[in-house]
Amino acid sequence: MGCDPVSSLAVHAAIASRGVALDLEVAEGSVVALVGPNGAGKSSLLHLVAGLAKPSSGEVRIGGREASTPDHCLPTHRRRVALLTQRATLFPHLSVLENVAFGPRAAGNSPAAARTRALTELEAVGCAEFASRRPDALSGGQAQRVAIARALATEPEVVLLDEPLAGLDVAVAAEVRHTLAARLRGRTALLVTHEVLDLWTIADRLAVLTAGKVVESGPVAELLTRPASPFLARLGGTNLIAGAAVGTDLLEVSPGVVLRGLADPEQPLAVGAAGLASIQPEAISVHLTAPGGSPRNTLAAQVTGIEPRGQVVRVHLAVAGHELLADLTAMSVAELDLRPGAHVWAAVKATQVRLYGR
Amino acid sequence: MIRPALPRWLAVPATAAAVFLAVPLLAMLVRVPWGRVPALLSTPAAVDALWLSLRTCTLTVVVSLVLGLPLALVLSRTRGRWAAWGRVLATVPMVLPPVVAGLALLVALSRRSWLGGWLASIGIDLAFTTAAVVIAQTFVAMPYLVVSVEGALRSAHDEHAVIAATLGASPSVVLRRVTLPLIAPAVASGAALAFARALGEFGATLTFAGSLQGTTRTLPLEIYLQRELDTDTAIALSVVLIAVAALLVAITARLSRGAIGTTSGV
Amino acid sequence: MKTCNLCAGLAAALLLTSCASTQPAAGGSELVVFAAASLNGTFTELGKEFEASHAGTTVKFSFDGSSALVDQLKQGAPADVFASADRSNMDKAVAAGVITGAPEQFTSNVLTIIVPTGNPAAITGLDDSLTGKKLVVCANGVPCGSATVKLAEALGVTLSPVSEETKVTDVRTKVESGQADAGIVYVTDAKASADLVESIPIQGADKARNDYLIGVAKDAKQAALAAEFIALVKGSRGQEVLKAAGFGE
Repeated sequence: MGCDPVSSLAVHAAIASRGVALDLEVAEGSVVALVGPNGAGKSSLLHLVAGLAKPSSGEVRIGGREASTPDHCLPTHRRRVALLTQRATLFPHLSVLENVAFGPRAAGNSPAAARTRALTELEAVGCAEFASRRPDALSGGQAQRVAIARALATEPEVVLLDEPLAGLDVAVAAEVRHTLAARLRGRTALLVTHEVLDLWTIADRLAVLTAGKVVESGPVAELLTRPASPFLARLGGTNLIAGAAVGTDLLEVSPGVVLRGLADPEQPLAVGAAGLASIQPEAISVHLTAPGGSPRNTLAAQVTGIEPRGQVVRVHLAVAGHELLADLTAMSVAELDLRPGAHVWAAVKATQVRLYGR
Repeated sequence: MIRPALPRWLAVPATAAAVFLAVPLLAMLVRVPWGRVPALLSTPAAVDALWLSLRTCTLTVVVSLVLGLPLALVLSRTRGRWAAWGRVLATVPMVLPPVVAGLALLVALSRRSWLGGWLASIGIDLAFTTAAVVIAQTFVAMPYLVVSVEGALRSAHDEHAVIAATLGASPSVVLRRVTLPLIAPAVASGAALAFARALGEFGATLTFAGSLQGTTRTLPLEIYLQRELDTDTAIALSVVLIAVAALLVAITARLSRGAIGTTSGV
Repeated sequence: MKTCNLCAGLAAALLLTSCASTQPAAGGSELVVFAAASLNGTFTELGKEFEASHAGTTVKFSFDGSSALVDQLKQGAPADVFASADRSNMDKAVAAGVITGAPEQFTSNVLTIIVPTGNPAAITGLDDSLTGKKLVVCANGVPCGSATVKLAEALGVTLSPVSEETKVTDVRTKVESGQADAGIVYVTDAKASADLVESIPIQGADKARNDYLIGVAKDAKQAALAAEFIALVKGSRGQEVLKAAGFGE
C-alpha cells in the first residue's frame, strides 16, 4: 500500500501497550468521523496524529511528511495539528481575543497581525462581540465556538475533534454543530463522535473502530443506508438482521423464520448467499395476539426492555435470536401493558423491510 | 446547599484549642509597654536588626524562586521513584528542627569541611557573613515554596499545556504564557510563606552564621539577645515579628482563595 | 449555649495549666536552686553530695542565663537559692526584692582565649595576633560579654569580633568546630571544652573579674536547707570543686 500523494494524513501505526493497530488514510479536505465502542482505539488514533502518543511500530505521515515513527516523533508543537475536546479549555487568564490570537502569536506573528487574524476567525464563528470578555463570562456553547476559532486560527493541516459537542445541551449543541460543519468544510479532520447527527451534518466519511482496529471505512451515506454491521445499523438508527437468502425477496433469519421484503436493486440478494434485512424501528408494530391476514411479516417476540424517549418509547424485543428495536407511542405501551418478559407478536409490512446481499 | 450539622460537643475542644492558641499571643500584647515601643524600636540595634531581616528575607525569597520554581516544575512532571525521592528531599528541611538544619549546613560548608575548604581556597569565605544568613534562611524556607507550587501544578494544568502545544507553542512558550500565569497565585502564596519562615528563622542562622549587629543579627537573634538584657525590648521586637507574620499569613490565605477561583476555568 | 461552651473551654485551659506544677517527692523535702549556666557541672556535683549528706532531700536545679533567672524570680517562680554569674544581676534581684538578706560572693571567674586544636591562626594572646582573624565573643550585656568589653578597655585593646553570641556555649561550639579562629570565654568554659580547644591565658585577665554571688530567695520554702547549701558552696568542699573547674577566689 503506497503512500497516496493526495493523502493529507496517513496512519499505519500500532501501539502495542494499548493494543491498537491502526490503518487509516484521509484525503485532503475530508472530514472523517471515527465511531466505535469505548476503548476501541479512537483516542489512541487522535493521540498518534497529535504526537501525544508514540507508535511502537509503523508510522504516521501528515501532509506527506513523516511525523511519527518508533524512533523519531515530531513534537506536538511542530505539527500543524489542532485539537478540540469536550471542554473548551480556554486559557482563563487571557481574554477571548488573546486566546484566539495565541496560536498566531506562538507562530511568530506580530501582536497586531495575530489580533487581526483572531478577529477574522471570531467573526467566522459569530463570536466577535465577545472579543474582550474573559472565558469565565462565556456560556458553554460560546466557549466551544471560541475554541473552534482558536484552533482554526493556526491554519492547521489536520483538525482533531474528540466529542466536541458532548458537553453541551441539545439546543446549544445544534448551533455549535452548525458552526462546526461550516468551518470544517474543505479541511482535513478527524471527528470522534457517538452522535449520528454529527455524521450526517459534519462528516463526509466514516471509519468504524473495534478492538484497536479500523474495521470499516467509507462514505457516510453508503455505510449508514446500507449498514453492514449491527453497530452501524444501531448508529444509523435502524434494525439489522443477518440471514441467508432463500429467494430474491426472502431472507431466512433463523430456522423456519423467513422475512419477506423489498430487495435493494444495487445490492441484490443472491440465493444461498448471506444477506441483511434492514427495518426502521417505527415500522414495527407490536400485538398481544398474532395478527391475522395479509402478507406481512409476523414474528413471535419477547420484550427485553422498555426505553422511554420523550413521546416515543423504544421497546427492545428478542425476535428469533436477534434483537430488534421498535418505536411505539407511550399510550400504546401502556394499553398493551408491555413489560420485560412479556410475550408479544411483532409485525412489519414487507414493503418496509429492505433486503440486500452482503 | 444545606450543610449537615456538626455534633454540638465539638464546640468544647474547639474553644479550648482557640483559647490555647490565643492566650500566649494576647498575653504578649497585654505585656507590651506600648508607651515605650517607639523608643525601643528606634535604637540602632533594633533598626539594624529589622533592616537586616528585611534584606535577607527578600533575597531568600528571590533565591527560592529562582531555584525552587524549576525544581517544582520538574518534580510535577516526573513520575516514579525519582519524583518520590525528590519530593522527600524537598520537604525534609521543613520538618527538621532549625538547630539540626544549622548543624547540617555547618558540617557541609564550614572551613573544615571539604566543600567549605574548597570555597575558602578560591576566596569565598561564607562564615559569619550575611550570605551565610541567606543560605541558612533559604535552606529552611525554599521547601515551602516548592511544596506550594508543586501542589498547584499537579492540580491539572496539563490540559491547558497540551492545547497550547497543539496551537504551536514550544515548551518554553507554554511555560511562559500558560503555566506560570496560571500558577501565579500559588507562587505568590508560596513566596509569602517562604518569607514568613525565613523571617522567623533562628536556629540555623545562629549555628551557621553567627550574630553580629548589622551583618548577621537578624530580628529573631536580636530578640534572643535582648531577652538577656532588656525584656521590654525583646517583647516589643517580638510583637513586630508577630504582626509581620500575621500579615503574611493573611496575604497567603487571600491568595489561596483567589487561586481556587481561577483553576475552575472553562 | 455559647457562653457554656466558652466556660468549658476556659476551664479546660485552667486545668491544663494547673497540672503543670510538679509535686515534691512524697515524704522528703525538695531544695530548688536557680544557678547561672556556667555553674552547671560544679553545682550538680555539689547537689549530689548535699543529697547524700541530707537524707530524704532532693536538690532540683534550674540552670539558665543569670538575667533570665532574675526575670523568673520576679515573676514569682518558686526557688530557694539563687546563684548569679555577676554582681549586676544579683543587684537587680536584690532591688526587685526577691532575695532575703545580703547575698555573699562565693567564687569568681576570669576570661581566657580559646582556639581550635592546633591553633591554626597562631593566636598569642589578647593582642595584634587577633587582627584580621575570626574572633567570637559574648555580646555586651551578657555577663561574659560585659566582662570582655571591660577587659578590652582595661588592657587598651580594640576587638573586632565577627560574631557576638548571646550564650557562652555558642562561642564555645564555634571555636570547637573550627569555624572561628578564637573565642573569649570564661576559664571554666575553656575547661569544659577540654580537649576540643586550646587555652591561651590573657595577661591581666583579672582586671575584668566576674564575681559570683549567692543568696537565699525571699519566699524560700526550705530556708534552712538553703542556708546549709550555701554553707556547702562556700565551705572547703565547695571551693575545692569550684577551683577544680577553673573558678577563682
